[in-house]
Amino acid sequence: MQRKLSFARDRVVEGYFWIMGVYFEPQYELGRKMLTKVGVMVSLIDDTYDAYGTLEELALFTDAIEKFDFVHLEIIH
Amino acid sequence: MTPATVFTALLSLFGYSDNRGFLCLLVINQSVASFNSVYICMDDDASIPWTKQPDVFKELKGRDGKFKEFLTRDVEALLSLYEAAHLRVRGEDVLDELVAFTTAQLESALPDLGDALAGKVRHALNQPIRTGLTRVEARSYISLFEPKGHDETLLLDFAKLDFNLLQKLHQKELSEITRFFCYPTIY
Repeated sequence: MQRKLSFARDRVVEGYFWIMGVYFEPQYELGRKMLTKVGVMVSLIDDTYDAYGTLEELALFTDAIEKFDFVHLEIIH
Repeated sequence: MTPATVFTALLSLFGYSDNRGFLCLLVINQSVASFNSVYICMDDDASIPWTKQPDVFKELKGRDGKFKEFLTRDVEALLSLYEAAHLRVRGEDVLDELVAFTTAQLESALPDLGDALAGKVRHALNQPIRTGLTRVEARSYISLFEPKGHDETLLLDFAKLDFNLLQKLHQKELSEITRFFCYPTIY
């Protein structure tokens, strides 16, 4: 991730620690994993806006996110 | 082991505080036991949410509207009460007052305490368990906890085991998450 997206924060461990403060109990493994991944994704997109894309690129990016549909998931698979 | 010690030990060492009402009950029963007035029974009232029984906390006060004097006699119990009172929810005014009361009492007792107990009290005043990160608090309490007798030594051993086992699980999860972001294509 850091090789391809060097502009983004590399804060996976911190993110995990944060979520661990929310759910620490052993049975919430899935919740911790998913929330950590979501947190990393969100910070990745945030950094794309703040520190990477130009205005034109970001307008396209926003467009792509807004158009996102589960139909596209089928195509990717 | 007294109920108050059990409460503090369970809440502090393990952090499993889901059953708020039960924990409050333990401490308060312990506190009023000397008055022979166990005024709430778990079996009878188990179906009523704890929050719907605000009056039970009023037992902590005397007729003059002040908190009963015996509450302040034992600093360990006072500390338990302080931590328990932090489990309050909106609308429990008596517990709001109890937080203020126990905080003031602990602060005034602080200069006369031995090193170990003073350490616990200072830590609790700075960071109540309720508002801390559970496992971070558990780790620091493991260092502060001094077992008295066989039961508490056993409890401490369990707490250490619990901490280490769960930490191992957390480390394993973190390694999986890190691997997911390093090599997303294999997932």
